[in-house]
Amino acid sequence: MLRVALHRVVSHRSVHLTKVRPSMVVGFGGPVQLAENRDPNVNPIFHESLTNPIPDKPRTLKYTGDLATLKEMEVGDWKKLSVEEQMDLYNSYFGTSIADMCRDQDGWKSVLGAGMIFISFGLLLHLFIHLYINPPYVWTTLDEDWVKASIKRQIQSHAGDITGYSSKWDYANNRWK
Amino acid sequence: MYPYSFIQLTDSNTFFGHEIVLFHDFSLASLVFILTAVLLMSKALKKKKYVVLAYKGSNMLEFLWTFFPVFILISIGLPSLYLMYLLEGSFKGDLTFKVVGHQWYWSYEGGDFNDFDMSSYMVPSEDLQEGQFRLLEVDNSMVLPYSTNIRLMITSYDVIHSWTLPSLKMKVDAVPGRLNTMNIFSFQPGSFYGQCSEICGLLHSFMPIHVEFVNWETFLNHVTEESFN
Repeated sequence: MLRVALHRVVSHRSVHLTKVRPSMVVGFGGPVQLAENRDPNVNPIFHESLTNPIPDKPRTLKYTGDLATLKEMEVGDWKKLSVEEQMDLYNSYFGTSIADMCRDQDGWKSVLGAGMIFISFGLLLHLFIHLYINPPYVWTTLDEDWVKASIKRQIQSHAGDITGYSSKWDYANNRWK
Repeated sequence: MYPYSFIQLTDSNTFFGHEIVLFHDFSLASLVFILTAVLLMSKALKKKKYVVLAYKGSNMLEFLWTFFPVFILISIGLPSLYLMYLLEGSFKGDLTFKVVGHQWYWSYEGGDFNDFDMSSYMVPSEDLQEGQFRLLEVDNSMVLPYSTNIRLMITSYDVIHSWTLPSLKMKVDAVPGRLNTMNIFSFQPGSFYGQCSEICGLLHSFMPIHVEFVNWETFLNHVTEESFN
């Protein structure tokens, strides 16, 4: 589920990513380089999030090849750059856009579903034990007759005369208020 | 005494009990305020619309999140300290009784009545009559006069126990080798139950406390009978 979510997050910008970071995955806290395709020019400890959006250092440490050309063009007039080139320059400095950081994720649905499955197994087990394993019923002090007798005893001893049973008993007429 | 399915504090029969209940309500109100504030703040932050402006540091923010918790703590702490010293009170009493915790029963000695000494054991569940309270009934309950300032001196014979009466908002540790003093005063006659509140071994849950507050005549008759026995 998380892989699918990440793929969907990445695929919106995959057209612009091929030139700069062909093997990037948007993970927790920002893009993460896959180990087998690690680019030595990319800052490995790069981190940005919604609460810390501006990184200390750019994501790309060394501008080589096409990026070097773009960097020289960046010094000049930006209107001469195409949208794709501007995007590549942005992606070379930052890892994730603010819109990507604010995007809702739906991994919680998987967690909730798995949790509900486990809870339902537990409830089924409880039901089985209650029906087939528990010993036969014996008397308890929570039987109806016993509870009634204990309430009567509390009323006779005037226990709970502010918020308890005695406060709800009409002593003059010998009945509940 | 608690009704069934009761989740509040029980009625108090002492002045200090009322104070304790009021302080409890005040503390809970503070906690509810804190919880609501935290939930609202987390809901607002979760919207992901806000980008932190001064994320490198903010003196005003640091001041605010230091000042408000300190303010809340002081507002809870001062009444708590006041109540604590109020509860200790004076050591003068019209009567003095001694409570000694044993494994696993309580014994009561009358400080003013030299021959008064009795032990209080729990009535087993099998021997209960219908309507009696499980794990609360005792064979010999402590009988005291109501509307009288009584000084209780509580200690233990072996391990630490705790003498508790929720209806009078009392909880005093019974520590071996130490005498803890507490004043007990009931507005009205009645029957009050409690249980040992400090883990003391195998039958820790089976050493209840039962105190009956009666008028002076009944109390004196009871003391005379017990002394003869």
